[in-house]
Amino acid sequence: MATQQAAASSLSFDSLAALGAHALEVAKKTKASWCDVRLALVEREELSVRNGEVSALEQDEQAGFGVRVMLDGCWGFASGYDLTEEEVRRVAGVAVALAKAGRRAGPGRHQWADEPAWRDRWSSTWLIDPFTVPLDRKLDVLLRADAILRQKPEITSTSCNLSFRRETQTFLSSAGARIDQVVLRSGAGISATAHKGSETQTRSYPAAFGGQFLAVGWELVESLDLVGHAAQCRDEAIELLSAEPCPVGDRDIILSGDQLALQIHESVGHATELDRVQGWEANFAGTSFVDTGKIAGGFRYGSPLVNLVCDATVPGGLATVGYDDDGVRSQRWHVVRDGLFVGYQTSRDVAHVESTAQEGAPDAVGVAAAPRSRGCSRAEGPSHVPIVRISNLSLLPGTWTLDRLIADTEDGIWMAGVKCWSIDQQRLNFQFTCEYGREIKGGKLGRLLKNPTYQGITPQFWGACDAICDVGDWRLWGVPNCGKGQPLQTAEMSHGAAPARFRKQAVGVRG
Amino acid sequence: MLDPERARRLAEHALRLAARAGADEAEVAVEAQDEELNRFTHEHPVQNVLRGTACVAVRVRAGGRQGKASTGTPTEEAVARTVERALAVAKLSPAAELPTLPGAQQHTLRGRGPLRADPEATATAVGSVTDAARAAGCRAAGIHHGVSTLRLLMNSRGLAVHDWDTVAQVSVSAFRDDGAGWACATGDGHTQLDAPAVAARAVDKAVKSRAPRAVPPGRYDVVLEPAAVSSLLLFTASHGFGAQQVLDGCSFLAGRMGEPVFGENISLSDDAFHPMTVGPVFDGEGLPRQRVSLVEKGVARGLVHDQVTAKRSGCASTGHALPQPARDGPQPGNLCLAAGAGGDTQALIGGMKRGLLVTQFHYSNVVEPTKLTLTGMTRNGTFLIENGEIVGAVKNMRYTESLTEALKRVTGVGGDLRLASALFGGWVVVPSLRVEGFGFSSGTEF
Repeated sequence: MATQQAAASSLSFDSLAALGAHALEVAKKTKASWCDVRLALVEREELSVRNGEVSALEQDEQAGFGVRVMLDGCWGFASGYDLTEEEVRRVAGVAVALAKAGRRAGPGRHQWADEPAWRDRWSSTWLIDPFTVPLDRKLDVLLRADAILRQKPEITSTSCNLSFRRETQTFLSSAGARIDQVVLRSGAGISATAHKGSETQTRSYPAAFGGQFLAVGWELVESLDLVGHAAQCRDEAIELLSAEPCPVGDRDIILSGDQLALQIHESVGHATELDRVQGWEANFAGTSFVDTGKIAGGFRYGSPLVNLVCDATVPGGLATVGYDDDGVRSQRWHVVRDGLFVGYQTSRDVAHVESTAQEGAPDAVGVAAAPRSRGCSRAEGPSHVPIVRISNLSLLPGTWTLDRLIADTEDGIWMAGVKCWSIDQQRLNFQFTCEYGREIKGGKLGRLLKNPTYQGITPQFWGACDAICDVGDWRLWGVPNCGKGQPLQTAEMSHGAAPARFRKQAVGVRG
Repeated sequence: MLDPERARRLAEHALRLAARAGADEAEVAVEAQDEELNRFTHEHPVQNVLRGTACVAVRVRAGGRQGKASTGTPTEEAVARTVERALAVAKLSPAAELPTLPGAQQHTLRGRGPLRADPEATATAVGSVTDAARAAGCRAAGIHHGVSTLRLLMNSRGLAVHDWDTVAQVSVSAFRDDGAGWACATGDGHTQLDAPAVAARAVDKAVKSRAPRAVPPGRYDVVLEPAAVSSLLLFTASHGFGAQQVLDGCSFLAGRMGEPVFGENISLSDDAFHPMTVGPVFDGEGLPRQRVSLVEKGVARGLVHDQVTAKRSGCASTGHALPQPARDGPQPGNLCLAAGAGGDTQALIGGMKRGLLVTQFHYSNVVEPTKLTLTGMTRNGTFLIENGEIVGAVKNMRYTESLTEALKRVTGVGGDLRLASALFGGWVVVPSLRVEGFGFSSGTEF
């Protein structure tokens, strides 16, 4: 069960809260309409074996705090790392000064949705605390998997990784909230790169770019059996060297769950962050085609089979928390119901926009007259300002089995494993390349295809979804490295998906 | 903010503790950063931020085994705990043949101090941007940003160096109707950036890029502004010129050193001391960054090394180590593409019969590493050029193109060097380029 103590630095929740109270006190002496303070310890352990050698074996702990103040509708945020009363007071004063100075840039117009001031304690759940597992046991898993990956000469590069992160945080607000949370996340994966002539191909297990990540403990590593899957991973990388290139044309495609997770992330997740819609990311990550007119109008995002649900309460989800960094309790809600767009991902800062836009909408389910946040406000750590982040956004399962779906496909391509992704700044035109493809002819898997690529426009793509596999193939896939915001912040979230079919998609690299 | 003296005391404390605990070698890297940011939209400032962060990383070696630990709490107590954790990790690590830590070095430093945060002045500058945009009927979004980074590295063999690195940026996107424009100014922050001028350029582009028409995908001659060039070229840092990628056979340069890889008009170096660039002047092992000529008149001439790849290759480190141990090996950090005689963007357009002008690329990524085939979208101002003139805006397009092939078809290299970045970060010094037959594979709706 969760530790009740920020163990590594002997900081307790109560000592963090006592320090945080000084920030609230500083803000209270001003005309601040809101102040919150997050004090946290983030512990991290990274292990990596590359080409037979330990390339990373690191432990890190970062303690710090961030103070956010709203004054006349303007925000000020400042952070520090010296956990002393004097420093907390000084940094709170800086946050107040920033909020005051901000008015010179323009009128403060931030609206802040009312939410209950919770006093609670919450924790991720896990079976085996990864920070208590001996390092030699962790290294043994990586070294054994790596040795198998390197058994064939075509393999020129390998990478085997374990990653663990625990955040212990206390949140206090001027409204009286105090929320203590512990969030634990674990990740594991392997990959092999084969090279011959001018060809280089990589295959990963269980997913690319670091592997699978979940908000669980060491049991994730045990369940993945990296060693047991290394030979297949290696051999598939080698087989891809002599595979045919992905054909160019229009084909039915069946996407694996891990690839579909990234598709959900890029073409639905970011597109439905309401701060993007409002233009807050316009100079960096971009805006969104899902303007606020689309929520009242019943915009068709996908086929009637498509149901996309955010759930910050789902066990194991990387975005599963008790409360977000605005102090809002975690929720579950539809973003797309039966193919229609029905809800954004919001924070207390932008909730009023959704509330206004939904007035009169036929699908305005769950949105009260008073603006309420969906609880999507999260920061990378205490030194970052909270921004709207994608929740655990999942495609609900359908009724097919994968075998039956392949048998039902006359002329298509099975695509698996994330290799390359790119999407325009309004989240419409995307192009993805996968690690591994298999042609489907007459309902059977056929020849191997390298660099399987598909390109589309978001609503048309989701509109072409005509079959989704059932709960037996449905899994949560972790995205541990979602970048957004300036200064850039990394956030974690999961996307549940089972393989699904999309009719007549543009495949292959055109041009 | 952590000052150099406090950082030095902490590092010496850590080295003493490591030696006392029996470490054969030890290294301490301290990094402290203050970041001031005003992020705004046309309606109002979204964020006014002053972030302070610090990190003390301790790397120890004992009996051929290495361990590393780090802390964000710069106190003697936390550093002592970090040394203990690093030693505990080392004990459990497999023994490995590791290059000896470098001894004392001669460093050339930037020698600048940190930037002074001035939220009132920053907010005033932001106000001038949003006012200018509003006056032109535009909406604007952007940042006014300044970062000061103190880096200190000391080791048990006598290496001791610290320096400040500063960077400041005003970046503005402007929107009017269906038009979008972007402009940016970047520098070391010790000279004030001209925020109104940046706003004026972004607004001008937004106005001109209204009512874009769709053009079919295909191959077009293009003029790429420096920001577009940067988002292509940065991939040669992560996927090309690092010695480990070449040794692993994953780089487009594998087996091609000494051969022509780009056109004769392309010369590329990594130069931390280029007058326009920013970033640290010593690497993750404390070695001075050397200027490395990577490509001379199209011919592959050099790679960047850390001590690990240098040992494998039988050469000396070029001072391009990331903080050690580095899973992905050394990387260039200051790519500089040599300026040509092509003048500015306007001059390059002047020589073009029909083609496209690209302001920025968005979300570029690697489709295939050995040919460096990239894909991404145009953004914030894409224009049709006919007979040397801009004749109108076009809707954004997706490019899918081999960078190595494209750099063989460069028909004009501008003289307009800029310090530029891209969505995934990094800095390069690049001019505008004119490229023949650049491949666009699909379009979008705006």
